[in-house]
Amino acid sequence: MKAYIVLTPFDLFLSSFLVLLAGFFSVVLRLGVEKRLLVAALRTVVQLSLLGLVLEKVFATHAPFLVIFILVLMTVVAGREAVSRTKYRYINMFLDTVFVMGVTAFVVGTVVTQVVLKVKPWYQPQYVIPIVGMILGNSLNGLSLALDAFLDYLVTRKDEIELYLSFGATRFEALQLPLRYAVRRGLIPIINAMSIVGVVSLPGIMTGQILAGIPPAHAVAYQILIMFMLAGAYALGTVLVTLCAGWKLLDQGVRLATEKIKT
Amino acid sequence: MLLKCGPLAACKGGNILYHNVSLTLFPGDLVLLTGPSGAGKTTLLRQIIGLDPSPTTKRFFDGRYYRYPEDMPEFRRRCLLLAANAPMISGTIEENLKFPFSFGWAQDSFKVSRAQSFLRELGLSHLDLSRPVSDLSLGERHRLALVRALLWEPTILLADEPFTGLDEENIKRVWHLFEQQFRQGKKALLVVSHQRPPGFFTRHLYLEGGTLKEMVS
Repeated sequence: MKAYIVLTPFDLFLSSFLVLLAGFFSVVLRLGVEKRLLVAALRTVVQLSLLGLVLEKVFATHAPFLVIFILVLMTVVAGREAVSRTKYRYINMFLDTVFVMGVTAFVVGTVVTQVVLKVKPWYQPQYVIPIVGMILGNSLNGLSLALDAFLDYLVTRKDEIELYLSFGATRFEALQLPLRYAVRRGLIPIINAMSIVGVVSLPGIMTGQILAGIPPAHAVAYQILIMFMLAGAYALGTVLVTLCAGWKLLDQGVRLATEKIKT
Repeated sequence: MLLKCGPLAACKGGNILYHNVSLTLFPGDLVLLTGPSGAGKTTLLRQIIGLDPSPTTKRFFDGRYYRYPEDMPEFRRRCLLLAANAPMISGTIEENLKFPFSFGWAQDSFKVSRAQSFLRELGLSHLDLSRPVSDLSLGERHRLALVRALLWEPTILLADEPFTGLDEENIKRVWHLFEQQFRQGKKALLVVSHQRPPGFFTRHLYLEGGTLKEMVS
């Protein structure tokens, strides 16, 4: 017995007219994006179908190693994506972003799945994979914003940091301004999201849950958990990644090594 | 001997700027360092305080050996670089004069009356301390950077082109302050400048063709 309306392939075929409408506008208004729109729509279908197939297999599994392998794979992909989003980069930045993603996903993911939800068994893929995925996707966002702001500060305001150093500032004294600036920039999206959630925006996850027949009060409880979890992931990710970058780029703690930063 | 720093070597774009150079300063020294532009005068000053890499350099200061990197904050606290472009942090004049005193190695605290007396001596008494530094003219910025350096009371000041943007009257005032502050006891001053200072100095060094020469005046 199911409390929700199951979508058939025909339903999805009908909904594809909405995408075709977008394509129609593109042709009529000569936006020139109809090809990209078509490819993107096809990718949505193919990628999500594959995900569905994989998730069904994975959710049925009782092998913790398979779950861990998938989590590691997700972390590495997220770390790579973070590198490609910043204007400046430095040598081995990829290692730092993957490391920070891993620590963030591990700490926040453990608190949520093991302490709050207490999933049994501990690796139960139906909970662990989507939750860690959400942590990674969001901390990726905050982390790349913070890293971008931090590197930009070091490049454009090098004089300011060297001024601090020349007055005998220690590592943390010299980095306090760029660290503060970068972490603040990285946290803006989640602060905005927490401020308007439920008033201006109805989160996609909650909408999905309500559509799938879950009582709104339960969906709300999950959404609050998710917002707090994401706030933690943003905070941990932005702070750790700027510390890692600062550690490497302030050579031995006494010299700003801008030669290590490339565009 | 107050400071002995060397060997120093630097290259730029594959060319050797200088090689096996060493700098010695004595108590009460007022040293003028000149040389053609591009000879590496600024790099030399930056290497002395370790802002540009110089891994083999040894620094002896006031009878003590300062290790790199551990002792560099303390070394810089006593041997201050006054950068040529007079960098400022964004904020007010007061914040710019005050921030060094918030660091762990600061030995004194910020005194408004002292700041105001230096500002007066350099013809900046018309400036309100709460004004943002972005309002200042180039010449005012350079004099403000000087006030900040003098307030800090370094044992050694390495001043890179401190006369930039100053008229003759102000250059005289600055040199007068330098003589007052550094021509005494265990202090010393090294000035990089393309113009001769308008007063007494003890030694003249010349950086050219990769070596540092002592000029006899």
